[in-house]
Order: sequence, then C-alpha cells, then structure tokens
Amino acid sequence: MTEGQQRTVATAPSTTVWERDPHVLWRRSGTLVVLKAPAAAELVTLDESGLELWSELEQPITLQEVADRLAERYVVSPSQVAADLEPLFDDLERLHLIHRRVA
Amino acid sequence: MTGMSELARSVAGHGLPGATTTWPEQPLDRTGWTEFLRCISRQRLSGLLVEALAAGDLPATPEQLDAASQLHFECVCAVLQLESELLPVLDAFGAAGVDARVLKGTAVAHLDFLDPAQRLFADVDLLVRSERIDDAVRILGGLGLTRQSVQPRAGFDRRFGKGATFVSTSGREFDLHRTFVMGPYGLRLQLDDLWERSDHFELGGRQVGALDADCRFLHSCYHTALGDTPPRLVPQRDVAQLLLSGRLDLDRVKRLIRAWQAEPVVARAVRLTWETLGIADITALSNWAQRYVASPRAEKDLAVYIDPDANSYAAKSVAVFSALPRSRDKAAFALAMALPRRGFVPPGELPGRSGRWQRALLSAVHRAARR
Repeated sequence: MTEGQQRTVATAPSTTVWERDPHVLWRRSGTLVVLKAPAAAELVTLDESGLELWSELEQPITLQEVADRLAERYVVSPSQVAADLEPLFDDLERLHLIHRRVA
Repeated sequence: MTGMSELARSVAGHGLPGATTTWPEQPLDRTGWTEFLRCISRQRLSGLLVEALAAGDLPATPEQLDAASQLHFECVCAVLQLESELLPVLDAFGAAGVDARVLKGTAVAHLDFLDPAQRLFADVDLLVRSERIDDAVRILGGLGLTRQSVQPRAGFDRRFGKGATFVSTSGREFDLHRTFVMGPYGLRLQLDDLWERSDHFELGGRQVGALDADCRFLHSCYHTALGDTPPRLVPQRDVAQLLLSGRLDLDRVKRLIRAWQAEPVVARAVRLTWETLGIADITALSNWAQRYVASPRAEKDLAVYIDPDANSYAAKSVAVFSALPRSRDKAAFALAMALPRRGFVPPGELPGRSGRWQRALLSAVHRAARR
C-alpha cells in the first residue's frame, strides 16, 4: 500500500453463536438427555427443558435466538428466558458440552 | 413361552411395519411387572419399551412408568460409557493404519434406528482384516484391555479364529472379529466382501466406519440364527428393521448369500424373526426363507451352533476341521487344537478341562485319516 492510500476493511457486526461440542456423546432417555463430554468421567443429565435446549443447539445459534424460541413456546418474556439461559450456557460450556464462537 | 416373554416379543416388534403385536388391556400386576421388566432388561429392550409406554400401547401404572424410565436411563448411561471407551480404540487403530468396522449394536443403533436410544447394547464389536488382527490385538493390549483367552497357537487368530474377546479395566467387553462367527459358517464367509462397501456415522466428532446395510443385515442374520440359544430378540429386531427398511440391495444380498453358502443361516434367521415378531408383511426374502429346505449337511452344520447337545467349542472345532478345504490348513488347525500353547482355554470351557474338545478333535482327525 502506498502512502496516502487508505485501507477500507468491511467489518460485519460480530455475533456469538453457541453450538454442541461435536465430541460429546449423548442419548435421549425418555424426556431426559444424557451427555458425556470426552474428558469427563461423569455423565450429565438434562431434564425435559434441557432436552429442548439440546435440540435447539443442533445448529449454531445465538443465545437470544434460543431465548426467543423458548419464550414463544412457553409464552414468557424473551429477556426473562435469556437471563435464565446465560448461567446455564456457562455451566454447559464449563462442562465441555457446548462452546461459543464468534460468527 | 410364558406370557411375559410373549409381551417382550411385542415390545421387540414395537413400531415395525407389519408386526402383529398384542398388548394387555390393563397394567400388569406387581409380580407380572417384575418378571416382565427383568425379561426386558435381559433382552436389552428398554428403549422400545419406553416407546411403547409413551405411545400408550402398553398400559402401566405411574410406578411402572417410573421403573421403566429408570431401567432405560441406566441402560443409556451404560451405552454412553461403552461408546466413550470405544473412541480411543478407534483413534489408536486409525493412528496405526488398522482399518476397522464397528459391528452389531453400535452400528445398527446409529445407522438403522430413528433414535439410537431404541437399540441398546452391552459390548462393542469391531471387525478388522485377518492380516491386521495381530496388530489389533497388540493395540488393544497396549490400551490396557485384557484378552480373555490366548490363541491356541501363533497365527490361529489370523487363519481360523473368529477373533478375540477383551475386557477393559472398567469391565466392559470388546469383541474383536475377523469374521462373523466361529466354525464352518465363519470360514465360508468371503471376508473381502465385508470390506467392499461401508457406511459411516458420526460418533464423538469422528466418522466411524461400519458394514454397509446389506452386510449389516446378513450379520444380523448370523447373530440371530447362530448366536444364543434360544435366539435373542434384539438381533431379530435388527433383521426385521433392516429387511423392512427398503434400503437393501436384494440382488447383492442374494449374491452374498450364495457366495458365503449362507442360505441355511439367512433362511433360519428370517423365518425365526417373522415367526417371533409376528410380522404379517411378506417380502421376497421372507417368502424364500419360508420355503427353503436345508440339506442334511446344512442341518448338521447348523446343529453345531444351535443344538444344545452339539453346540460346543469341540463340535465347532470338528466342523471347522471338516470344512477346511486344504490338507495343509487341516494339519495346522489340528496341531493348534491338539497341542495348544499353555494358557489356552476354549471359550465356554473351564480351565484344566480342555481334554474333552481335544479328544473330540483327535477322533475327527483319526476318522478323516481312515477315509
């Protein structure tokens, strides 16, 4: 680039999406979902609402999108669902069951 | 057959097109339920049981629903632990260039059932090529798995054996195969056919290789017809699930049956399945199976697998000896059986009681020599 030229970089707004860790083994068990992270000795069980959440995470998705879908299903406010989901997503990430990436 | 095992058959056929299932109109009483659940557990059918309960086909009390859910949950947990132990094995095989196909429950659950949780299993079965079986045995040993019985002599696994059974440090069983079964029907299999095509499924972020659908169907037939006595319900469900899926290349299936001389095996498996699960639908293969008449020689070969009086390692060894076409192979096999290395215990025999099968084999060798 010569002096005086300006570089224009197009930047799309970054979005954090969440997705299942592909290394996780899992099965449905009735209304539950049982998960096994690769390095973990213990299994993690999610209840019925967790199963819905796990289904939503089949494709990369933002927390807000999950909140909107669940809010519509349960007729509650999306902001309330999002507030409940945040610590749950953090827990699942800490257990290496899901991870976030910037899309 | 008791009422409970009849009900278990209905569970095994649940959701199959054409299966005629009969359900009680009222929940079972306490004693009946306990016996039934024990049968379901033994047959590893809790996945289909919870589906039948959820569909309302089988009436149950709230306590019975809870008990079925709990049983299924425990089975699902066990399956996940097994699959978790399978992954490092597949990684180690991959790193060493040992091609492997996952067999039976693990493969069928992921490839042939809508929900893998419907198909449960209690061990892992892996197929490797004959020429890599010694490498595979070394790899499994290196991973800390213990082989249950040493091979009778060096090279036996590769030439004559079905494979070897290993147990992991957590007590989970891994069956290493080079062919489907021990004995004459295992030897007649054209092993290259098993590697001609493959299917894959995702497990723990990896693409895992399995037999193609035609060979999965045929393996289910071997499992049904030549496995446990009485035949278990789960492999029969696999036979029906695959045959009724409409995904089989029936011309190829028939070619493989002919090449492997497996007509008696497949006919028996399909007939048993259709009768046990009460399947009303008639397919070309089920029609053929109903009409197939085994030759006296085929009946004799089948007996070493299914006749309680003839079903033993000794009987299978004698049958293998007779089935081997080359005298060089017969000699090597007879030597391995007559003079096995120290520590070899035939499957199903107690240590120190191996004289019975040695005597049986030696008598067969003598009979062959006199001819």
